Amino acid sequence: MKAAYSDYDPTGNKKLGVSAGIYESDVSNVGDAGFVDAANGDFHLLPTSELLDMGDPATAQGLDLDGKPLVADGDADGGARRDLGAYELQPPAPAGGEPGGGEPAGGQPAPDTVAPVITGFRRRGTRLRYSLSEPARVALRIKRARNGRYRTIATLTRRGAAGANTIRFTGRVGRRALRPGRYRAVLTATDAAGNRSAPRAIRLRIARVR
Amino acid sequence: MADALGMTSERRPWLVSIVGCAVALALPSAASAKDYCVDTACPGTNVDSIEQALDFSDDDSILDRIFLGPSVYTAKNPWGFDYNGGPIEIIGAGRGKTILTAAASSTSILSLATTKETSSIHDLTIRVPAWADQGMVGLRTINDVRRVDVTQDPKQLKDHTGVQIWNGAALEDSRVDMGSDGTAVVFYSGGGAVRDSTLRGRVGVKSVYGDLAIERSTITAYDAGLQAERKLTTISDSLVHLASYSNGTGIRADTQAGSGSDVTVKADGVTVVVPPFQIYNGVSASTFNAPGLNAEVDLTNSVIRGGGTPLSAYAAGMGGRR
Repeated sequence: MKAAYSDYDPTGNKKLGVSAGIYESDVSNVGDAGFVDAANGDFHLLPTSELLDMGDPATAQGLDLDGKPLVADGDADGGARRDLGAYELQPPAPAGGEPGGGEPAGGQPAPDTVAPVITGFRRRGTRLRYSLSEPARVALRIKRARNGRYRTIATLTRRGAAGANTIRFTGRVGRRALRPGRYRAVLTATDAAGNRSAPRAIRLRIARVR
Repeated sequence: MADALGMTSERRPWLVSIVGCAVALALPSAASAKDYCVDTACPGTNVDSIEQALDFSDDDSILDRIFLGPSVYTAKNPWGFDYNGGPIEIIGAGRGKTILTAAASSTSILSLATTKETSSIHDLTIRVPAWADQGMVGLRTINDVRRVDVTQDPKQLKDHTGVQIWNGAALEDSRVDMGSDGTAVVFYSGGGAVRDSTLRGRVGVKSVYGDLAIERSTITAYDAGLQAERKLTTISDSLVHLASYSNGTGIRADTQAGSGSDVTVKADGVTVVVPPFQIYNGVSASTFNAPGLNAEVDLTNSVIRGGGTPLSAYAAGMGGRR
């Protein structure tokens, strides 16, 4: 049995017999997979899923289970790489709404198809500042550079108001101090209607956390 | 000089020419494609039943087509609609509109064993009737299948098989739902492919002889999503969802006694979800049935959730591995 670039809890693996073997490489165990609605059988990945961009970087382009591009920059961090599992998160719709959002029918209120817009994302000391075009739930993904690529090591979620917002970031996630190194912080916002913003990313360098 | 037919030898070349022309004129007609129409308006010949259309179809190498209107067709023979002549295309009016079924005591509903390269069946529904006998098969084919639903009446007491495929045929853009008791799709010798399809059954896909590729498909199963028994089966960009049952495994590769063949599954980009209990496995490889052979699974770009054992490797005796 061989497993690579896959995610599960390996502590449950079993092998029986002298020649039975389980060989693993680049295997992760992120815990919550971040499925959209597992209870109702929807195993698409949320924008905050830790399984985004975790696939084999050598994966050739193809189609996912929805018939959409298999290697896509779903978290818009600048690098297209396949996600784990059957579904690939596609890049967010550009601000201004998706095609087909047109005129409402029968006098119904127009559905909200306008994605929030993040502007001014930057670091000032221990605070990350940004502005939102509308209230939204934001996800801050901290990615660490390792072997030439960035891997998500933590995700923080916050509620953001329309206008200026800040997130305090001291180089710790919970009680865990991040190791010194190069990081990238990727911010996305999702409004109440589920419209997702284009992500904004900044680079961080953590020297040493006290 | 006059011969036995009273013709002179000088006239015989004319006879040969006339006969030759007649044969030449007749041949294109005998070897041309024919269309048969059952309960529908089409440019071909109207016939009374599917059986009649199948009887009229030729054994030559030219493709004949059978157009079926929106109706329920019940096979009259105890072995269902059956055809093993020349190439044929069976064209329904759409899924849920053209419905093929059979008596509960039938062994199958539609059996096609025609020239593979050009034959196909598409755009219709095959429905296993209520209280069908043990082992009824919805569709047996060595021909490609597209946009077909294979379902069963919910009133059942016995196990059935949705689709049996031989000789490398492909099942595409289709739905096979055999509830929680039957096997959705079984591939025999020659392998084949499943693409862009949705399958449900106690076993989702059984790959008996390997050489099978499953692509972009959703498998919901109660015992095993994919059960591979010989040679190579690949599954990619697919969802394997094991629903609740007594126990089960998402993907399993098991050697078979007497097969003389190793078994390998390559799973790439598969989401495997099994119930969150100890008795369920995500992926397993076992040589329990044939310790001298090898069972192997290569898992890449995949996710396993639920169950007590994500990966299980069982090697019986000294010969088997993984």
